Amino acid sequence: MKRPLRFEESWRVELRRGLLQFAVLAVVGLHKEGIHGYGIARELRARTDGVMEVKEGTLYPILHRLKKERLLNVRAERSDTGPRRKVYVLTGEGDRVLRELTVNLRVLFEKLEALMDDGRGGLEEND
Amino acid sequence: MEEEDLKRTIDEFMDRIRRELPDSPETEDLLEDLYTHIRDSLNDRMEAWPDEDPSVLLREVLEDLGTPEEIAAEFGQLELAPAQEEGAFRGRQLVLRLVVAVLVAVLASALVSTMTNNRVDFVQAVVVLLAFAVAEWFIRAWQLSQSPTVCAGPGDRL
Repeated sequence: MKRPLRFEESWRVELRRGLLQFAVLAVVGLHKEGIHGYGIARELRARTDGVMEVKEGTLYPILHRLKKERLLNVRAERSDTGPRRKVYVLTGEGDRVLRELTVNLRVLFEKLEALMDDGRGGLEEND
Repeated sequence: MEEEDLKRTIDEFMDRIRRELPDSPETEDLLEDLYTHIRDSLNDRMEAWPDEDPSVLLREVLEDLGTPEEIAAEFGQLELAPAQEEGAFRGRQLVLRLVVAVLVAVLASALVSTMTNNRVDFVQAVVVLLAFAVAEWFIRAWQLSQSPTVCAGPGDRL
C-alpha cells in the first residue's frame, strides 16, 4: 500500500505544479518564434539548476492544459531526425496571463520574504 | 543495441503509459509528444556520447522522463479539476432548463384554458406543451451532436 504523503510533501507537490505552469509559460514567452517540448525541458533544467525537480514527462500534461486554456498555440515543424515536432508559442491571452502572474509572483515573493525574515527574527529571539 | 531493440523498449514504455490513461484523442496527442521527446533526447545523448551503449542512454532518457504512473498522475490531476467543474455546471444548466420548461408549459396552459373558457382542458394542454418541449430538447441535442466541435485556439494547426 502506498504511504500517504506527509503534509510538507503534498504541499511541495502542489506548489511545484503551480509554479511549473508559470515557469513553462515564462520559458515559452522567451522564445517568440516558438519552442518545442524537449527544448522547454532542457531550458527549465538549465535555468532552475534542477531546483524544480521536473520529471520531463510531466511537462506534457501541463503543456496540454495550457493549450486547452488557450494560453499556448501549437504549430507543427518538420524534423530531420524523426517525427514532426510540435512548436509551442504564447497566444495573446497567454502573454497577458504571463505578465499578470509575473507581477503577482513578484509581490507575493516580496511579502513572503519579509514574513520569513520576521519569522526568523522571532525564532532567533526565542533561542 | 540495435535500432529495433531501442524501438521495442520505447514502444513498451509507451504501452505502459497508454494503459494508465483513458482512451481519448488527448491521450494520443500526449503519447505523440512523449515519443518525440524520447527520440530528441536520445539523439542528443548519442551525439554527445557516441561511444556509450545506446541502451544505457535510453535508460537515462526514460528515467528523466518519469515513470508511466507519474506521467499519468500528472495528466489526471490536471484534467480532472476542469472536467468536474464542467460536469457540475452542465448539471445545474439541465435542472434550470427543466424547471423553466415546466413553468412555461403550466403558465401557457392556464392562459389558453382561461381565454377559451375551459374549452381547452388545462391538464391536456400541459401534457401537449411538455411533449413539445421534450421533442424540441431531443432535436436540439441531435443538432448539437451533428455540429463540429471547436476546441483548438485560433492559430492551432494540429
